[in-house]
Amino acid sequence: MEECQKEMHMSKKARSRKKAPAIGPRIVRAWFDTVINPLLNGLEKEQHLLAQHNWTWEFSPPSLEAIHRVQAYVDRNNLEHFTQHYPVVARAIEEHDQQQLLLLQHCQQLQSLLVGSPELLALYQQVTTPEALAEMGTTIEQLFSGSPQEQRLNLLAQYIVNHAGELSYFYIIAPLWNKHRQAFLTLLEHPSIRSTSEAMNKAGEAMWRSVDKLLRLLKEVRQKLAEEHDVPYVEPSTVVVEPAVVRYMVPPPHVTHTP
Amino acid sequence: MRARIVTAVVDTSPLLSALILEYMRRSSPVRSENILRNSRIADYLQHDQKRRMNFVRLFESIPNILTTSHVLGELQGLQRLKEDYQRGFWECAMQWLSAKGLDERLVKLLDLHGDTSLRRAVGEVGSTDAGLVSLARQVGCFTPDKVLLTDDQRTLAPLARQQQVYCYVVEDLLL
Repeated sequence: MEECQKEMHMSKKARSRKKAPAIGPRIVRAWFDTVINPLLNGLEKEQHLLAQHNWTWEFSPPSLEAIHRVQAYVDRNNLEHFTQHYPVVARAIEEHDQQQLLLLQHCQQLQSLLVGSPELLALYQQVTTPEALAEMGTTIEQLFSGSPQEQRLNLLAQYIVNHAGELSYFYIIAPLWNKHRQAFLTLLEHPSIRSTSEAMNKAGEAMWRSVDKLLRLLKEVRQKLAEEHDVPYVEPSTVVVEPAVVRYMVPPPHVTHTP
Repeated sequence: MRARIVTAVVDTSPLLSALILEYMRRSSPVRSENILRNSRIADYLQHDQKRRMNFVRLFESIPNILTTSHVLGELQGLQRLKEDYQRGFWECAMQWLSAKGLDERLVKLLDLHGDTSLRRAVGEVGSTDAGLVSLARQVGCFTPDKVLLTDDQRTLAPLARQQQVYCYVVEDLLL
């Protein structure tokens, strides 16, 4: 009986040895190509936009155009496997996604406040008089593609929420936005809007920090995995060297958020 | 100096590019980049903002734009936007085409069959291209101000010229 138990114990031990994490170069390669690298690329873009206070807010449909939940960047199945092995990354991802949701909510709040504010309406009316439009060499129909006034205010509010910079003249709204941009952005300082705008900025900064934390973690994990398993960050066979240009052609992951 | 184009019969590829660019112009810069990345816009417009603007100006300057129902039918199959982006694309496309007063004409396959000079072309280049040449001939695209616009240098442009139709490859107009 005792021996039997001992045997059982040993076989359990042997089984558990077999079950020990078997992360090899193939799995690491898959994690790099379908989870870590695409996520790092996405997060770097997010960080760049967040640093400019461009939340990439879109009012229709309400969404953040370039700041996504992590799942949007990666292969879900490989992400699940990866985070099972790195719970610390899983927590950072959760935090990132929570901040993303909060940011979205703040954008929505600020948008609604701006669209309903008498100040935006007054400014809109002031800058779209026939004389003002004639001076810009455009018409209201051209600027807003024939959309009703509510939509026009929504569009302007969206640009304000995103602290949009000067636009290339490729964009239809550029003549109006570029000429009156400063006046539109000053609305964020108005006493009835300031506190919501400041809360928005704080949410954006918190989002930036969560992106930064996740970026650092992922880079650390990637370095460790690469060195432990002798796997390069990018498969050499997918690097194409052209005169003066090195282009990395990583096979695209299965991305769930595609326009 | 090139004569101003007053009437243009437009092939699928330039029409699709025109609609995508219009959608991009009405979108925010970040969304616009996403649209570009996920659309099938002509290669010569992919990386060149100046050419894109010249393309937009070219289409803005043409008062009469015509195309065939076959071309419009091909658009959905060629555009690659999905869900909300697809809805936005079509909404914008319909607004723009309506503002431009697009003249959509149906060129029937059996009418092409009855046209001895185009009957063979249907079998060689397909009914869409043969239909465009037929429409261009119907509306008198024989002079530099009345033209057929295409990106297809290989098949449609030679066919059109063979049929005496005045045809421009759009890329050549953007230089």
